[in-house]
Amino acid sequence: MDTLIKVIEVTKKYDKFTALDKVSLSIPKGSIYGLLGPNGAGKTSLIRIITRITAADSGSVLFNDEPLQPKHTTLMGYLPEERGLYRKMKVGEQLMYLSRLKGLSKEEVHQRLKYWIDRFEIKTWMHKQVEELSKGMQQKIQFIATVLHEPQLIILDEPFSGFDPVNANVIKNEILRLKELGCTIIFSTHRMESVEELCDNMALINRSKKVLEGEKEAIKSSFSTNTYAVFTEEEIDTSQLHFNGIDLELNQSIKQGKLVKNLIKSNAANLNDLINVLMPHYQIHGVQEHIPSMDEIFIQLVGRKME
Amino acid sequence: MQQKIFLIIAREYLTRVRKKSFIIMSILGPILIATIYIVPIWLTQAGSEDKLVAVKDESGLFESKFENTESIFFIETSKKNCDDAKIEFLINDSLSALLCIPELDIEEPQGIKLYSRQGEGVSAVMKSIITSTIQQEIERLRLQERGIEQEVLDQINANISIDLLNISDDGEQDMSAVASTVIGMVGGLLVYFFTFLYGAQVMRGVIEEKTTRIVEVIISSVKPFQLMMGKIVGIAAVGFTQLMIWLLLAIVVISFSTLLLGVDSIQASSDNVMLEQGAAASMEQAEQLPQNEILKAISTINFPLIIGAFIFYFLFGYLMYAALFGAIGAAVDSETDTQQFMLPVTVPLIVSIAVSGIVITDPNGSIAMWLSFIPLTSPVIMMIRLPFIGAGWQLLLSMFLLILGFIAATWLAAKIYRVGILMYGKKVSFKELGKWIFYK
Repeated sequence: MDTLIKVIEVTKKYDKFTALDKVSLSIPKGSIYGLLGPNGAGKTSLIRIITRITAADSGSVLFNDEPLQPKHTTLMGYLPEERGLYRKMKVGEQLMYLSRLKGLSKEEVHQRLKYWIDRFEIKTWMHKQVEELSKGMQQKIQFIATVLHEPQLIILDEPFSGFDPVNANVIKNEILRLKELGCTIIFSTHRMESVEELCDNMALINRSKKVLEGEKEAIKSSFSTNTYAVFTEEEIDTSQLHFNGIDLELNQSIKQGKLVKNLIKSNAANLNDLINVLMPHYQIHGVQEHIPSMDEIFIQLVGRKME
Repeated sequence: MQQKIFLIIAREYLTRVRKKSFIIMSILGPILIATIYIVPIWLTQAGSEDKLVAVKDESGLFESKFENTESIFFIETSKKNCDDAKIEFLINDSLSALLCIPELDIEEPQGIKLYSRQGEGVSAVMKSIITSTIQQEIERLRLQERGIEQEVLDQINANISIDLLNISDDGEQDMSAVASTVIGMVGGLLVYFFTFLYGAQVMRGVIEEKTTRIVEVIISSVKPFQLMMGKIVGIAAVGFTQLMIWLLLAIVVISFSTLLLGVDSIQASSDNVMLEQGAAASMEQAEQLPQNEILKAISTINFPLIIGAFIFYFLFGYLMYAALFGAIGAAVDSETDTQQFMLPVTVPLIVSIAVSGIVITDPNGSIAMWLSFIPLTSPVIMMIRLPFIGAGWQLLLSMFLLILGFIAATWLAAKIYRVGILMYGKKVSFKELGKWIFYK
């Protein structure tokens, strides 16, 4: 897969504080890329360097194999974590202004706005002042402003914070549609469960250093712990179960309604062997491989929770 | 890229010009000025109604001595004495006042009375006309009694007007000190007010963008410097628009009111001067200040120079201060935090106004000269000095230094701005600002 953004050994310091320490990343074209890490890890600093808001102290960033240049900024759309629009400006004018700064002509803005006006049903908002809108509405407007110029790279910093579940879903679907259209999307977040399912690739950043990078599935399987979730009617007592040299160990059992979810660690070569051991003794309602969440991976890597 | 800065300028300009407060200010400003201008005229004309003053001169000394003015007319009453005249005055509403002059001892004139109706009073002008007429007449009589004839008096009476001249290398130049003072102060004050008013708007604009965080979105499209300059230039255009509207409306209002009230503006301004000097100033003095003298004084002012210099100092003074105000806006999180940084920026401006008196009394003194070279004070001080000193090497040097000051301020501001707009939740010290300047 082609690389859209290549970050090479980027370092950024503020006074004595190091925000980024020789961070290298490569973001594949057409992927959804999760930039994960706790608050203050350096995510926003990295984004600001990619968007050319600030410059790196050392290292470089390549966009389509070219060193980052001013012309590239029109190919990016950036939704910062702290949202904001001009409060005393009409929604339509604001979208026009922000899009024209990204190089669109008036006609193009009018043309493209039609889709979004239909999609988000916001026709009546266009002549309202931004301060008259609710926070969720403002976020939608800002999302439109971020993507209206059809950028190749969309950078979303904590994209779902502040959205109710319904609107978060609307945005999620739009993001997936943009990906279909060939956009590359960077998600930056400290709440990984919110974006985990969407990401193809991801990187973990902690304390100004990259800890991990790769395809999501590959990362997850490399952290696979041979653990299975088995749903039964009663808790599994592993001490009673020995069969063909297969060892079982109950890590955790969670009651879920009428059933119990047993997390069982096993050296069984495959799921069938495990089921064979359990079947004679328990009524099995479901089995699945337990894949660690990014949160768990993070804890495993840096020994503390991400927050 | 070039096109983007115009987008920013256009936004800054349009959002402000369309604001209600701008429209209100644009209309109220000239009305306020016009009010200050018209009310005194209106007052001097006592509501522009004609006033009839009944005169009962029992002494017979002042027969046909009272001269009618444009709105004050004197009629001698046919009544026998003052008491009868009072009754007539009470009955006849068309009379505004009654002047009673009893038998007078010209060495010790006493008992002269001017009656008016309750709630109406007597205008200062009317009182001063009557007082000076009586005074003049009594003085004339006293001189006559001492054997000095009118003819001799006329010969003695010296009507002096002093021509004010400035000597420069170019030769002698007529110039009225009064006109220079007025023109200089008006220019200086305009520069001061607009710099403050619109410089502060730049600061507020920057703070708004910072607190709403929209700045991050915008500088992902344009350079911080472009955003800053776009804002400064856009707001400058707002200031110029306001000034032009005021000027146009003022011209319209003044010419309209002049037509309506039937006073020519020169007459009106001399009336103003008189009123300011208090009611004691006599009409006679005002009349002695010949109208053509004022016209002459004004015509001696080199208006192309003053207007050209005004535009220059107005523009560059504003640009320099606006950049500094913009930097302050970038360094703080909210308007309440601006105090500590505002002080060093506003002090030179305030000092300029504070020393304006010294500059006027001694336009060539060392204080005036040095302050008109220092970029932070020169916009105001040079405007005040210019009508006195005219064009020359001092003006050129001052302009050159102001341009340097503008470049330095913009450079400094851009450095602070660039870092400041992305810095949140931190109280910044001067030391910190210093560090920002040297960030890469």
